Amino acid sequence: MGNWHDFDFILFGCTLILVVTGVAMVYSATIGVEGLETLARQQAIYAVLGMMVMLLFALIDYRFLEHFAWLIYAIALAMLAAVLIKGEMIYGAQRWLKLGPVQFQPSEPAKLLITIALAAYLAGHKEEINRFRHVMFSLIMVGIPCLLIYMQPDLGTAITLVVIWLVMMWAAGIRFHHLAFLGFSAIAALPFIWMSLKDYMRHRILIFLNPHLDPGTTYNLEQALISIGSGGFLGKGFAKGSQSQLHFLRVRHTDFIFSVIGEELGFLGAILVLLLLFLVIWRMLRAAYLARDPLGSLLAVGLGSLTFFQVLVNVGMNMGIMPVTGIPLPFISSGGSALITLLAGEGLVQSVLIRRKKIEFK
Amino acid sequence: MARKSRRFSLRFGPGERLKVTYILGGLLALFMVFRLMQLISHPPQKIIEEINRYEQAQGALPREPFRGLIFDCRGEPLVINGSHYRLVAYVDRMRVTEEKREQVIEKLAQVLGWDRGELQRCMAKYRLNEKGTPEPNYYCVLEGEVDRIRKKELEARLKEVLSEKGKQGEGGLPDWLGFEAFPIRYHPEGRLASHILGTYLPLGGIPLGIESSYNDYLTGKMKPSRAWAIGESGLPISSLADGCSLILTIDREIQRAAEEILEKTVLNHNADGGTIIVVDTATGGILAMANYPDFDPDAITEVTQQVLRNPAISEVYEPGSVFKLVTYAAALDSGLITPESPFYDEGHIFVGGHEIRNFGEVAYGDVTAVRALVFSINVVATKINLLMGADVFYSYVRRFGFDAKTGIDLPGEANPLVKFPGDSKWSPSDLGTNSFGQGISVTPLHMAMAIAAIANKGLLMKPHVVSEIICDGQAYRVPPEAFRVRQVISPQSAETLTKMMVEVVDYWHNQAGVPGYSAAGKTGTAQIPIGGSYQNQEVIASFGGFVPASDPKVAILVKINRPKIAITGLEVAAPAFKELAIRILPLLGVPPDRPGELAMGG
Repeated sequence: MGNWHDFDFILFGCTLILVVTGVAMVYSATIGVEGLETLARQQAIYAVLGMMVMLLFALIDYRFLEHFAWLIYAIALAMLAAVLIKGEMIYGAQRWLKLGPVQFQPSEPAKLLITIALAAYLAGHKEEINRFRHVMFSLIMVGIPCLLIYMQPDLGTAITLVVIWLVMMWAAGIRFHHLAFLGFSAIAALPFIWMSLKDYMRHRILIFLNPHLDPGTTYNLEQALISIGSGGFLGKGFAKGSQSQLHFLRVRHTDFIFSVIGEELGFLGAILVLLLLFLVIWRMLRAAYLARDPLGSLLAVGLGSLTFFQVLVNVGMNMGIMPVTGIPLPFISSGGSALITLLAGEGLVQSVLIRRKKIEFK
Repeated sequence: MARKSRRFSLRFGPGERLKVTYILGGLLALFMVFRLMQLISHPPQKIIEEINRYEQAQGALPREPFRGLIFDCRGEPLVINGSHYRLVAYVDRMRVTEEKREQVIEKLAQVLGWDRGELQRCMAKYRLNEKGTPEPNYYCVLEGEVDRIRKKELEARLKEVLSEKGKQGEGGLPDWLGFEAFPIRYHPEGRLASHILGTYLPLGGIPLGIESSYNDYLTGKMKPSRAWAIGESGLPISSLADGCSLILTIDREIQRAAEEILEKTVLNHNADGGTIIVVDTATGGILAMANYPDFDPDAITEVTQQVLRNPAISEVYEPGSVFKLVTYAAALDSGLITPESPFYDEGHIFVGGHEIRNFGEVAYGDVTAVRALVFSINVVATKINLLMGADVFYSYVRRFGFDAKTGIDLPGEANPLVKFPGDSKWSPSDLGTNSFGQGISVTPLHMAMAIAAIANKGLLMKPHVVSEIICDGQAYRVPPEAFRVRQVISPQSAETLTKMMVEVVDYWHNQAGVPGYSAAGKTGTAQIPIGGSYQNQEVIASFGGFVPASDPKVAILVKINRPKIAITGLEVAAPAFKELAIRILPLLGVPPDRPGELAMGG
């Protein structure tokens, strides 16, 4: 058992506020929409479940995971393969898997599982990380699930994995000339990657670079900007946003929930949510400093950067500074897979914090 | 190798690397906060426009305003509000697969009788805007206007066809389908006074009736001047209308009597149509204004624009002998004649190189002025005008208001076509023909107001149909002085002329006399100019008069276009005047001034 005095109550408290805000905003975004009435209640259930999972993961000694790293990795790959073979199509993408009565998005837990496996591998080869073959091996480790996710197709999540790998490699001590080499290789590979992109992905990137290409595609983005812009300083009041309540804004309970916050809770609400998210991320990265070993440190870096990158992409997309991707807003967006995964990851970070000092009862 | 890297990582160890990560993350976080502040404090121009557009759209969403109501002078409703519905598909709310979507469109096309391709276009996810660029489509009107009964039928049918297990929105319809209520105008009296009321055509169209001329009041955009306030309105109507309501000078019962008698007269004489105007002589208020043919204001699409226009004010005609009243009024008021002035009728007379004859090609020989009016002798009227001279005659024509529009509060009034000396088209022969109302064109309303002026002791009034405007429970009335135009002839002249007109009616008592009441009037049988020449059998038969002559209350003009069985004003129009007067005098509570006649007539 760890030392519960070291449990991060600030991290826990901020997360709790965010999760409750999320349930409320999902409620507001789905009022009166047929077929979505149950979403807010579901989100509340996921929230309670997620908080329990978080405490459970805090109990687990993260060092224990090191022994199962390859099993964890294999589970992730198996889920991602299964979703490609017998997944459910929604909105033209194969992202959902049915497991008995439960339906979930394997790419969400896969992010957590692969971060764990990667942290274990990097921590295990801490001393040899300056060798290029370890760099390449870890890249392949991430590359395989990336490819599977990309085939769903879900470019956003695939890129997320690459970014997590990059940050973790950086923290693990990748050598500068290896980094430079990879950077140049990536730039050289860009044309080929571009060729291999699905039409809609290329389209979205082009739209992002030049929003006037297709007004139909920029519709949601424009509506999101209008939502945030029309909220003003204090917002229109909870469940009173005309953009969201009159259904001008689509996918508002998931990808564009931040603009609903902006419209209904105003600049004040949006900035508070943003600050809470940054506080959570800071507390997670802080754990990387305090961790007793490289595994704990890398876990904290990986999970912190995962959360940060998702905030960056989602909020950036809502404000028109990032291309439109299907990445949800951490802790807030509707969806059980993402919420429970994130809370589980946060539990692991708490586990790292609790066990940062040597056990003293011996 | 290992040593070298260790030395390196000492300089740039895990701690330093984490610091760099923090700083980078912090900078990105700051940038996002900055962007958020920027977006809210200085939204891009395009977004400001969009916000305004949507906020306007939102403001207009709850419901369309209810126009003010329209009542007759007794407070009986003539125009009230009801609701109709349109069936709308909110296209962007359809969350179904393409396949399902096709099925739904197919079913809808069947139920609603749409062409499938057209419905697909209407319900497409995107459509082109004016600039030709695609934008999301969230609205397709499936049925433009249905009443309550048809709505229920449609609801049941759509529920049956589109039913899905467990997925039901309001009323059992899918949430992307809905009926939107919008206010409609309903006319409890049907076709009654349709030309006066006009129609409310929200999608543009020709201005018609009160609905058009009082539109700003009815919508509530305009409020009457405070100076017009006359106290609280007794009518409990504020909750039924957002705009101001109107009380008309029109009397429903008089209007109905005029319409019935007009229709009967037109049909009996196989005429083309006609007009009857009843004026309250003391105020200039229009009590009735009937035209035939008329239209059903609740089924406006079925009639042509020609029928929609109000001929009582928008069509001019040559009034014929009724216009002799103007000639006689001028001659009496200028002191040229008395009722007993002697004249000699040769049966024809030359004026400005044109020969003028009497109707029926007869000559009356020695007559007095009053006899000449009774027998409607054109030659005598011409002689009076020649004696009077153009200056005096036309100054009275102007004084009676025949040189301009009357200024009634209805849209589409026509200008009278009167030539005055000095106009390029005026010729000396016009002085002769104008004396008996030919070669001069006026609206029926003009003629009615001139007759009303004689009845009103020579005071010409401005015609109007609205007597009160009610806004927020407060009643407003234009002060009666505002409707006084001018003293056209002296009260004494008016009285003398009235006596002469009574002699006309008394002489033709069978046709025009009103049992129990003294009546004043004049017949007219005007030939219709067709391509510059007159046809003997193409006439407008008319009668203008007022009752009771001893203390006039109402002036009546009856005008029948192209009667074919009988054609003279005496045979066609005078009996309509008589019948109408008999019906409306009791309605107005006017006691008989010749009760002896009633006792004798039994």
